[in-house]
Amino acid sequence: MARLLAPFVLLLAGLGAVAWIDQSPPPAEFTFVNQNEVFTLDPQRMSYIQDLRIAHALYEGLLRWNTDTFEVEPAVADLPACSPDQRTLTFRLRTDALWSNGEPVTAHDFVYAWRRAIIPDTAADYSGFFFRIEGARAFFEYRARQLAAFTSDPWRDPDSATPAATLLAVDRLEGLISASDLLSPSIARPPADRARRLREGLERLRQAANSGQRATLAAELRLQNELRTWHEELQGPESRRAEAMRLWNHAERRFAETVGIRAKDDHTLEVRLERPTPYFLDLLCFGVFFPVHRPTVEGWPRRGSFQPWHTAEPPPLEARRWIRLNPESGRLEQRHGWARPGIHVGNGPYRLERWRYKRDLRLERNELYVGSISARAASIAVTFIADTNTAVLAFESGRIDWLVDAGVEYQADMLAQKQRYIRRHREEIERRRALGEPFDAILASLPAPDPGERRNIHARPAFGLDFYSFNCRPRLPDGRENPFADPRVRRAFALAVDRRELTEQVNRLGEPPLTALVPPGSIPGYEPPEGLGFDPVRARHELAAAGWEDRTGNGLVTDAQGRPFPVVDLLYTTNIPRWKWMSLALGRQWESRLGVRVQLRPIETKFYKEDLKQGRFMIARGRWYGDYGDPTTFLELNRSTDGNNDRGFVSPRIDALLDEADREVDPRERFRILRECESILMTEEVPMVPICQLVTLYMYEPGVVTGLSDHPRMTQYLWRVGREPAP
Amino acid sequence: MTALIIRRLAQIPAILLVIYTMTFLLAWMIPGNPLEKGEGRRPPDEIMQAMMEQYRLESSWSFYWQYLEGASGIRRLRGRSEYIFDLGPSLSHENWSVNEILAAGLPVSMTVGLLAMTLACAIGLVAGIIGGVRPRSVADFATLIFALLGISLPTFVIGTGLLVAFAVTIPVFPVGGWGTPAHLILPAITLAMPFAAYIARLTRFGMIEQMESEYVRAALARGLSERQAALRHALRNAFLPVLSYLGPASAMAMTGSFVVEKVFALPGIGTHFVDAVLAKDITLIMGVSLTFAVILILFNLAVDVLYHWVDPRIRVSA
Repeated sequence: MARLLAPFVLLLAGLGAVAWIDQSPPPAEFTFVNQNEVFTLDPQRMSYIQDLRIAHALYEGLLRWNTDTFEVEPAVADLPACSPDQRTLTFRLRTDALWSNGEPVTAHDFVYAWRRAIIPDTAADYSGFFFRIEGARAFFEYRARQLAAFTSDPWRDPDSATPAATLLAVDRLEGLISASDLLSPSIARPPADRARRLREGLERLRQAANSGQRATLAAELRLQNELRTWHEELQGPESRRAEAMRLWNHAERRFAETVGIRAKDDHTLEVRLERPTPYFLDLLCFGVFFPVHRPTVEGWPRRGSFQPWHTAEPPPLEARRWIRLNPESGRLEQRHGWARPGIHVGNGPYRLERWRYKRDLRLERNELYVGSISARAASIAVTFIADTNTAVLAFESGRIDWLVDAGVEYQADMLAQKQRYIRRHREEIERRRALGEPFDAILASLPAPDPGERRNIHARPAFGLDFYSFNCRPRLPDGRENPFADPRVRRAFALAVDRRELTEQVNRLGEPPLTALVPPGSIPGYEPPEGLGFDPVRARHELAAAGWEDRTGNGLVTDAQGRPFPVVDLLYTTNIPRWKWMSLALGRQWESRLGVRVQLRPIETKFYKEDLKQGRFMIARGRWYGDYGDPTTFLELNRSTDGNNDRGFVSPRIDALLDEADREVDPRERFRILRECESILMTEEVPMVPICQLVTLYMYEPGVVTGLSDHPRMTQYLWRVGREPAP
Repeated sequence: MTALIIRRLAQIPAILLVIYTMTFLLAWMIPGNPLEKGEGRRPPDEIMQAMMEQYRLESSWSFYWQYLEGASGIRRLRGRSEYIFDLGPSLSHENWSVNEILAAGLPVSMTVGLLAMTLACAIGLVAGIIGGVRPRSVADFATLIFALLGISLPTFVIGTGLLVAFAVTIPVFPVGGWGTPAHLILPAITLAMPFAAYIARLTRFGMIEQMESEYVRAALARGLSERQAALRHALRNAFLPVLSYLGPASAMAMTGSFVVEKVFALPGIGTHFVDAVLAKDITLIMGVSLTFAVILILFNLAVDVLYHWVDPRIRVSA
């Protein structure tokens, strides 16, 4: 019997051991579910909403939004002094701002962080935001070209060497022949006569590459024996390391000389813009512009003093723990071992107390923070609950104060319960709203909801929209002619969409229907135009004008030769049921109102992006969130060269208008141009049909949790959110 | 005995290499780009290129070898890694290394798994013994129904049912999450059910067989009470099939049940694994698979050792 018990004793002992190792902290003052696990705490690498929400707590930028009005307010710096040509902004930084390790926050921190965001090595999604700054785009391209040249090796396979790659290699080698700053004896400068021969070889190679003939180029590459030998010498690990270092030194110097970001002194930052940019100050409030503490993110060896880092000589690259130059690619690689409690250093109202993967993240008030705001809750716990049903249950049980997104299947039913509650108290609510009382306060003071009613779910309009994209390319990937290349067909499809049916009967979340791109009221001073509403008669006319009519009376449209309209390939993703229901309803609307056949094509999100990029669709679902307070955050999607122009939409008129707005200095005139651009997009060109503004479903007890903004830009600062003390 | 252990341990590297290669092939074949984000902005091509290079996703060959270098400990021997077995950075959560993710998730899964197995053994053995000693009685019938339910009801039904009953309707336990012993109870019960049911069945069959064997009848004839005969003699042999089942079952329970972890919002390794496959986070897939493999191998070894110790016949023949 004793032997039989042995396994159980072992099991229990293991259990005790694990329970003892794994212990939890006391509950925080404010707890919320962040919807998704934080991807990164590196502000320059951020792009997800849940990451940026944490960034506003851990860091502080030069400026910040007022999240109720979306005007720009001072943060680390005052509002800048602007030069007469509106291209030079001078920021005075607060002198009392500190990092959470006690060092002062200086202008050099911003210069460093912004450089990180701009270099292609960091691979920041938002590096394009910095291209407004003078020289930033040119610098990005310089470094990208430098790295491409470093890895280009036309000798590896001369027959497949491209002229472009060869020219890059020629440039690189030419630079090395006369380089005076080689850092390793293994790539010492060649003696004069060899250098001459090498130069001649390079010149011939360049001519061969410029001829554009692949065969000539391959022959020339094979011919250049001396050049190849020298090239091979340079490929040794020691040489590569030295050369990567040399390139990096050049890039660092070039950044300091050509990019318009300068620390004039410790507390003065001067930014020179490429062109006057009215929304640049709004951009500065965005997380990617937040500073980072260089010794922390690079992993400098511990230093004794609290002197600002820029006053000392940086340690050699090899001594910095989290970055290294990759000798194969030449890139500066950054690791994120610093994004940990105890190591992380920020300058925001909170500091990182705890972070466990897909478990929880805990923020504690940063006692060293000085500024115009103050952290309300002493501690904030960010819990991670993958399953939305469980998250709602956790909220219902009172464990969570704020649920950022109640994305459950019964969300519409919960909203209906709230509508029922509001209907019952309509008179009281309307009377007090007329007196200007905040909605949440009114809700909180009403009697508790009956069974079947609720007041703790809140649909807030968001800074984004759902739309359906038309493939505007002249041909489909299989070579067929694409009917949607014709704007009349696109207009017909847009006019046949009954958005009310979609929002009221399919989604049932009370989303405001949209006929244009920019959500109304989200950008101060900008009034979006009216797009194409629901008009089935005009839709038929547009389709007929494009040559598609019901000629046989069977309800299906054909062209003059009697060929039916191609079956519409409607692409949507399977990650959430919403897309299925919306696409089904839309397909039905188009079939019944236009006389076309629609084939739904559900697809995994991973394939979807690839299909969009390759144009393998006729109509595809889409979603876009704005990033900054300017209409271009939506309109640039339709620029012919934009990386997110999935529609393959090319319109010189639209590009010209966007360019014109770009050059315009007067903000009013600029908005007029953009409005005209949006109007043409939404009533004439129609590359996409907007469906509705997105809403986010918050769950919190009104009156208990306060400080959340309901502005459609949908940014919540954690430092102003908290629980009201119990009465 | 020692020879057996040494031999089995010596086999581990070869087994792991085969598992590594096969998992790598399967994971590499999952379509899609792990660095692509599902929604929103698409980074410029240069940026994507930079990321692919940094994680060696350009070529399967180079990825295979450099990952093996880290995972096998060779990189550590060369002094270029902080971990003995460096399982690389996670692709879908770049601030974390796979080692850290495992270190955070495994204790959770193991705790729940251990408790679940303890429960499963306790419930399963008791139910099995009752059923086995009195076959076709009411008690046997009751345990049969219990076993049928445990095996056939999916865990997400049991889990959600328990949640609604004991966390929402009667709020005795927390709804989900992790931190206090109370968080453990419902997930452990849910996870234990199918195992308990299976153990009950195994024990019952074993007991029926043993109770009819000659040595038990002889013991009864010598005047031992039925209870003594059952617990002292029959159970000992009836337990052997259960013991051999316990090895893989414990390994399975401890490496995390995706469903239970999802329903109860447990930050365990099972969820991470499924998320990793969905996101094609290839470094995490490889890391978790290798860890699972090691645990499974070690548990099977442990069971063999226990077998030797519990069953004298095997001890003699070895």
